Amino acid sequence: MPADSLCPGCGKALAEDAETVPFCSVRCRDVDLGNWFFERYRVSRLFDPENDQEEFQAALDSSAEEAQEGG
Amino acid sequence: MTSTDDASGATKTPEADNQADYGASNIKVLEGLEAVRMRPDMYIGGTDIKGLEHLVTEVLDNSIDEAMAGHCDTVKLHIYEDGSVSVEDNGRGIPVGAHESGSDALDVVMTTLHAGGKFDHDSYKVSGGLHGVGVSVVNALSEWLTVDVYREGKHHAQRYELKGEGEGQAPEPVGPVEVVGKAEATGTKIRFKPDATIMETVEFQYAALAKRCRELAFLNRGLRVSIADDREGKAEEFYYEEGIKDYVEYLNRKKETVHDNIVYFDKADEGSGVKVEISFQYNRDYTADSIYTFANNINTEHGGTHLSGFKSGLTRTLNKYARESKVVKEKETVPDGADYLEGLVAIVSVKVPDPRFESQTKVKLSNTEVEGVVQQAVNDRLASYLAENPSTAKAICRKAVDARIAREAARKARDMARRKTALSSGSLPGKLADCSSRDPFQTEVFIVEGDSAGGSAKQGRVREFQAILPIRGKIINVEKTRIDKVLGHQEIQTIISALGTGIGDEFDLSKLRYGKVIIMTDADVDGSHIRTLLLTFFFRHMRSLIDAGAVYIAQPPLYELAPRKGSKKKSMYVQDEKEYESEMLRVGVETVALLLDGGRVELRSGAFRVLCEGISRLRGLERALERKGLALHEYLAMASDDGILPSRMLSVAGVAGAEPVGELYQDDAAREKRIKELGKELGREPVVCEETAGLEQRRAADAVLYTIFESGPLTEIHTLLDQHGLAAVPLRLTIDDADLGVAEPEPIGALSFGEDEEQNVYDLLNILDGVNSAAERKLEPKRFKGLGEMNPDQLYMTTMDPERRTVLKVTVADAEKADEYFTILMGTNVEERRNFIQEHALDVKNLDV
Repeated sequence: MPADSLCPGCGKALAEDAETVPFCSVRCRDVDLGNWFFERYRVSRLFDPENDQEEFQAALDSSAEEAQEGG
Repeated sequence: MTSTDDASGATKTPEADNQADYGASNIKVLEGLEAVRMRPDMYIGGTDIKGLEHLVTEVLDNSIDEAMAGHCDTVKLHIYEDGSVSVEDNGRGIPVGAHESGSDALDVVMTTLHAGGKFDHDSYKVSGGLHGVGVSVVNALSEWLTVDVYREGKHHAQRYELKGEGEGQAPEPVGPVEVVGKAEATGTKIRFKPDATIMETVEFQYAALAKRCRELAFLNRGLRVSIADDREGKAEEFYYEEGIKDYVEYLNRKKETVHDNIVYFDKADEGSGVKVEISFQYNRDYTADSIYTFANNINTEHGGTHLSGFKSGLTRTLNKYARESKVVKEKETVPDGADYLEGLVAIVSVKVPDPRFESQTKVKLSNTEVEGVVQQAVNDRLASYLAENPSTAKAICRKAVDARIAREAARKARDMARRKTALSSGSLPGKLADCSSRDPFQTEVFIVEGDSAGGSAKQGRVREFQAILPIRGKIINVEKTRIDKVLGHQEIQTIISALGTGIGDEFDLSKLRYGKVIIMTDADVDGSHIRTLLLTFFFRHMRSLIDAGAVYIAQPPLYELAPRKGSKKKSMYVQDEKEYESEMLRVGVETVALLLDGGRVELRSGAFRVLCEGISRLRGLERALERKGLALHEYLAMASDDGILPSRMLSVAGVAGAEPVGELYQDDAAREKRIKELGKELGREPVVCEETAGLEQRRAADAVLYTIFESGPLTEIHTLLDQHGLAAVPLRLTIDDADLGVAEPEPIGALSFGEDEEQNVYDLLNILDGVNSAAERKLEPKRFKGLGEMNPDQLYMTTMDPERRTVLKVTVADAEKADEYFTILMGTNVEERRNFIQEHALDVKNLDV
């Protein structure tokens, strides 16, 4: 880890002896962990009309299913 | 100062009467002070350093009472070399003269318990000295005490001293109250030396007393409080125009704050006579113990009704705002009280007419009516403050939401840890196809993207030591322009359970169930994204997994090159486009030759391959040049006599918004010369900047300096082409070139496929295409769109078989890079993210981590 690493949570500089590397604190680590659990981290890519129609439909279907299960 | 009833008219009594009645009342007085000396703990909480400070506080509080009543604006604390301390104020001065008890009013105050004016609400609406024991207690516990009263033009003085030693003693007045001089102003000064036979320590601590002085100045805006210490030659003065708002600023002075504005509001409740004053600001710390509460200037360290009223009002008001402003969405849970306390620095100061405390030392306020008054004050005043300061309000609510997430995360992590215990009894995630061996030196788990690839992997694996965990990205949003995916929480849980390490505080590398964790994803954008998510997660939350070198990335092939029918050779597999091209070239040049110069020159195998590779590189470099606004063929035409291509460019701004023109130079000297000329044209020093400067700066400049890093490789390739007389041949013949009056373009040469089969070529890419088609006569290339397109045997053979596969070990640097990439992908800046995605969608190779 380079000395000038920043905590991915709060962006503050990281103490070299931080026990929660790469986070500055338990707090930042847990917030980040929460973001994973709550599905807040999304990756995006451009929609490709040729190849993504199928996936698009599958996503629509599965979300409709989930909604049904939920109800 | 503590005082008797101002309305008593005591000051009119002649001094003679005072002296006459002095002796009789004295006996009763002694009894009272004696009790204090017998049980000091009951009055000042102890005889330690805290008790010693309590003595000073009692005297100080009395001066503050004068200030609160509006009669005093200066309080001075002085520590003397002899170990005594004095408190001086410019209040009204303690009443002096005959009291209804027969003693002088001053003596009554100084020697009678419960004699203060504070039990009579008319003299002080609010007061800090709760017990009313006040200064008499200080007197009781002092070796000596002097008091100077400046009042009605006279300076009155009195002194009390301990007579003799041992039990049953108490300080006595040395004589009647005397007038020792004139007084121009009013005020009171009390100086005392604590009794070392009772107090465990009599050494005053400057720091603690200065802290209390500062606190009092904060709590009473406009009051000047000073402290001086003769022993160490220290002195400070405290004065705050903005009171508790300044206090909050002071407490946060070294902190990173969440919002710039310091919240402040106050309210006076007419019914109860309670005055509420509150100020707060959030900082980025995660502690929640920075609410300082005061009742009548007394630091209520254990809180009480004002604190509970503040907390409930704060949570309610902020939650209401969070909902209404949509900082917390409809489906989300609102933060709870504890979440709003994180990073909170607050001062809650109440002035209560009749304060009641739970203990002798005044640390907890118990007036029940205060709770409702404070809560109501917060509800009303904070709500309007938030409405007027939306950015501050939202910053606060968001901070609390973060705190809630952290709390939830910690809870989830604990749940996960519990589930892990269940794991040992055999409840592994259903999707996991586990291996039979438990030997970490042998075992490995493949985290495979997609169910179909997972299926192939399960069939192809060696069950003894290879486990398969299929996962997939979950689509959460599809728009016409983009698809958003997440790693669903079930996937995350599944991974954590399968690895067996736990997470957060529970994380334990020694519990890892496999020797290697191998990420196996498709060689496309989605695969790259899933890989990035996984690596970022490991980097952030299973860091020691990476440190231990246990994480790997599988290298599935991108192409299968199957021999055409009739060949006995086996299929070849290549990992990426570059390898595919170079393999096709290698095979192609074996069967085709290039005929140049009307067939007089024939280029084949080795030399031909070098030429083809040069052309292939040329194609890549063309794109790099285009990004700098240069056309390849125009650039190549600028080679010097030695064949060297220019490496310096000057992009000169166009006149009146015209496109800038890129000018090329062989070296810095030539370019410098041009810049000087430019200066002459402009009639001023031209503004020049580097290409690395910001967009704004580049737009504003007269000229931008570029370095053509491609000049080196291009010079090489240009020289190579020149050797074969192809330097002037375009990479691709465009329609424009063909239309220039030449109906039928001249071929530059021909490709010979053997046995009289020839094919003319007109540009450089024709050559590559020809070689490629020659290769395709021998090989049938198949591009795998995903892992799922491989059959189980293929997948095992190319990607999973430890004997034949390549796997990349993930280093911390790799994972950190994934995190950086991930951070941009996650970025809140939509524009930046879109640009990034677009750029990388065109250039999939750059996604490789």
